[in-house]
Amino acid sequence: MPGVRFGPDVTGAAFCPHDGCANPLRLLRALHAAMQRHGAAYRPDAPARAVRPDGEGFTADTPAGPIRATKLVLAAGHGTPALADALGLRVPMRAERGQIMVTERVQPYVPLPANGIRQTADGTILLGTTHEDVGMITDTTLAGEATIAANAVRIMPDLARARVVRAWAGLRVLSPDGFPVYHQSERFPGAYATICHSGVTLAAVHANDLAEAILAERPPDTLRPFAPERFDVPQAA
Amino acid sequence: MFHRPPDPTRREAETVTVTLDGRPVRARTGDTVAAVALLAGLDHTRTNPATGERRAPYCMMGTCFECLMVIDGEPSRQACLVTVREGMVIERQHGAPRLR
Ligand SMILES: Cc1cc2nc3c(=O)[nH]c(=O)nc-3n(C[C@H](O)[C@H](O)[C@H](O)COP(=O)(O)OP(=O)(O)OC[C@H]3O[C@@H](n4cnc5c(N)ncnc54)[C@H](O)[C@@H]3O)c2cc1C
Ligand code: FES
Repeated sequence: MPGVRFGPDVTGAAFCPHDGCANPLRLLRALHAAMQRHGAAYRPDAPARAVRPDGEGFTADTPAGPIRATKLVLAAGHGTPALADALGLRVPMRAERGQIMVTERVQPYVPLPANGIRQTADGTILLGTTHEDVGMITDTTLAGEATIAANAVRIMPDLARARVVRAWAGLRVLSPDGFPVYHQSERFPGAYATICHSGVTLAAVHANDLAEAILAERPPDTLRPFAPERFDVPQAA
Repeated sequence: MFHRPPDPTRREAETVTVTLDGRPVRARTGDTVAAVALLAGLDHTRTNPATGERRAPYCMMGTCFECLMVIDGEPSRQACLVTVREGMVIERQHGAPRLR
């Protein structure tokens, strides 16, 4: 990391050439642009209150009226379990809170995205995160942020000069073992549920392999281990 | 542009000397850095890191963050909330601050 001064506690580092950083605002914009190009209808006015099989396919009941489809994919993050039962889908899930802090814009300093320290193209530095089991609560805490700041400054003491301008928390979408769940309903084979952490890292698999498997209506062997049956084994003591 | 109103108490005010962008400037004890910069005739105290626009103190009460300056080497301090001290070194902040 040319130009970076490390703290005395830093004795080594791991480098992975595949690691990268996607700017969330630009990523979201690109996703919407790509959706429009492919003719997808984005319906923020129509959250699904319930979904159900209707004989030929599926119906989602929404405040904007029913929406019908022959194939249905639940990809609603923490909203997935509430919709899954009616379709014979099973999605065991837990939430894990992660807090993030962001600094003011500063001159380029962190040349590579590191675990817990990344500088955006705008110059702000994202610090964090925490791993907290607190349920569906997205509050930030002083203790959480103090830990994040202390870690960051221990690794790169110069970060102490940057001012923090915001902090927020998100809830990780996690299965019990932390790996994705891709589930095709046995009772209603046109219905699927997909939940995952690291959805940004896994985007290529989801856009290619998973999307093709859903179109072909059968998962390839490589995706089979991600079915929820893996949770049906008794826990070892 | 800005000037000090006459002091109704007509007290002889205590003064300090600070350095403002490299030149010595006399100020009164209790003045804020933002007030001193404005009285010294600076038309801007920083440039915006995103747009390069020139900005100057605006609210003078700690709310707007337009007054960020480098004070004694520390970047992004709110000049309207810092009172001057003898020997203080004050600089305009050009764009985004450096971490080292
Ligand atoms: C702090 C933190 C750090 C992370 N860091 C990384 C990282 O570095 N790299 C990485 O790859 N991943 C990271 N992740 C994980 C990543 O954000 C998730 O894997 C990803 O967002 C999951 O995408 P998703 O589309 O499946 O679910 P979500 O992003 O949760 O989207 C689900 C959507 O469904 C909507 N919805 C819910 N219910 C309904 C309903 N009834 N009707 C209609 N819509 C509904 C929700 O509003 C939401 O928009 C991080 C997560 C957190 C919290
Ligand atoms: S002038 Fe508004 S915060 Fe200082």
